[in-house]
Amino acid sequence: MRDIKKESDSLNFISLIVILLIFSLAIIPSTYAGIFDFVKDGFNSITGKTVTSSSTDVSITVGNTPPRIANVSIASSFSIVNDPTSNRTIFFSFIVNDSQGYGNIDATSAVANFTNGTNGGMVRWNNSAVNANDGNCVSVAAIGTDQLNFSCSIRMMYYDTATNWNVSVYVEDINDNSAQNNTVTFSLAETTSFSLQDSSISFPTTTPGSTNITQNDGGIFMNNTGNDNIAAGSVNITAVTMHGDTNGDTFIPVANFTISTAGNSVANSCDISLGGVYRLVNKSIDGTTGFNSTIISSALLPIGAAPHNQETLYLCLRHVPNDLTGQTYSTNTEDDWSIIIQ
Amino acid sequence: MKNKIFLISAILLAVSMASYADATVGVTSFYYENNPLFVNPGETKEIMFTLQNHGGDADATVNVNIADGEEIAEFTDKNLEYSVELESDGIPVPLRITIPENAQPDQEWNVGASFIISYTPRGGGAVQFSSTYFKDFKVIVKESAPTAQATRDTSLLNSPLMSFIFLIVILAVLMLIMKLIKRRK
Repeated sequence: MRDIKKESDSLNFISLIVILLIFSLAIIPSTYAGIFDFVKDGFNSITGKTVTSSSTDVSITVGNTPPRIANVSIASSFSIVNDPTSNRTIFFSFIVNDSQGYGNIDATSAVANFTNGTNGGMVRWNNSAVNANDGNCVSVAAIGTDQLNFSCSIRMMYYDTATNWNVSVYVEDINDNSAQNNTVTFSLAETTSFSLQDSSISFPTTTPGSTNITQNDGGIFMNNTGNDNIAAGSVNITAVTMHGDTNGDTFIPVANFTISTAGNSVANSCDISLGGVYRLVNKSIDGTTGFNSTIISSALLPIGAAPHNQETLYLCLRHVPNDLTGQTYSTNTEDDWSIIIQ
Repeated sequence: MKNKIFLISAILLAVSMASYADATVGVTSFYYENNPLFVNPGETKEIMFTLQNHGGDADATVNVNIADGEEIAEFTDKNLEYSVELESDGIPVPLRITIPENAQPDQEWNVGASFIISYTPRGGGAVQFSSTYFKDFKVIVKESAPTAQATRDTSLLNSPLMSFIFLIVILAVLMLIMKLIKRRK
């Protein structure tokens, strides 16, 4: 009788284990990605308790709580100003919270920077420790008893890269505790822009049959005033036949002109045998896709500060046709010639 | 000789009238070579180019045209000639992108626009230059959003088959234990 009870108890115990196992197998997949995650991580992984644990000595020093930075507020996108003598000032704000009260925050310590990962990592600062005139971010108002609202501005240059920029702000309290917030980004748009120092060029006095007439105003001076890197092969020119202003029967064919970057000198601009000297083809701006005009392969306009962002083109009239009559020859009655960036 | 004198005087006139206009117009876009526009099938999006004119001393007129991607892109302004005065900024040039309903994931188009910029006052030299920018960017149809099921870990260890095998093994072990207990008795 006792044996039967013992056997019955054993069977009940095993049945209970089987039921528990089946129940566990039923609920584990619904609470976890797979049963072996449970096996790997242990039961605490589904109870929410810490998966790993170890014993350690604990000592608690009750002291000053570091400040916290929240609510970094900045527009999501900006563009540069296409002017090397100016810049785009970006304004933003953030709130610093200190549980010891806002009086515990060092209101002069707030600094900020913008960074990106391109070109070796560009950085723009508002940090007087880096640039003495920056002035740091400024505390503008208290909010309640624990918070200070800071206002900040950082200047972006015309060549700053079009991409996402990270915003980083840093502040200290008067106990030398610090806080940093790197959670916010903004995008800087791409601006294509180049300046033509002079959009109109002249040639000196000449006579029919003359050769190798170079422009008398030095060259076509260009600066990249945007943040679009204009690589070699991206600069083109369209040109159309130059007729007489008074009598259009006589004209100077476009093929009589060359354009050049050779030797960075006007003196080389007529020598078609040199690399970097290109004979113009007749193409109006309306009919071009860029690639079917004259590509000035050697010309480029990198982004950056001067003189890195500069290029000069030189125009040469290689031959003045013998049949020209005495009048002004210009593009006034034709399409403008156009320098194309693509 | 007569021709020569006339030609000389004509050219001198052109030189004396020459004025110098330092010209700088910028065209801004939030979509560019490394930053495509992602869209959904059937979606219509309005995006914006903007024009600015800083750092020079000339006003400008900008003529805008679609250069690529006409099948999905159109400028919505009726007049596509924009006056961009010196020191002006943020002049919008809206562009509408309309994606077909039957567009496939990863399908892409190149959308391009030309901006032909002429400057005033015009110089008096023999050759008047304009500037032209070709701006383009990719429009790409998004992949359909992955489902929760698809993002689950589907490694062999966590597959339902393995869970079933694990259950069978445990049951087999238990049955073996029960048999052993019975034998002892």
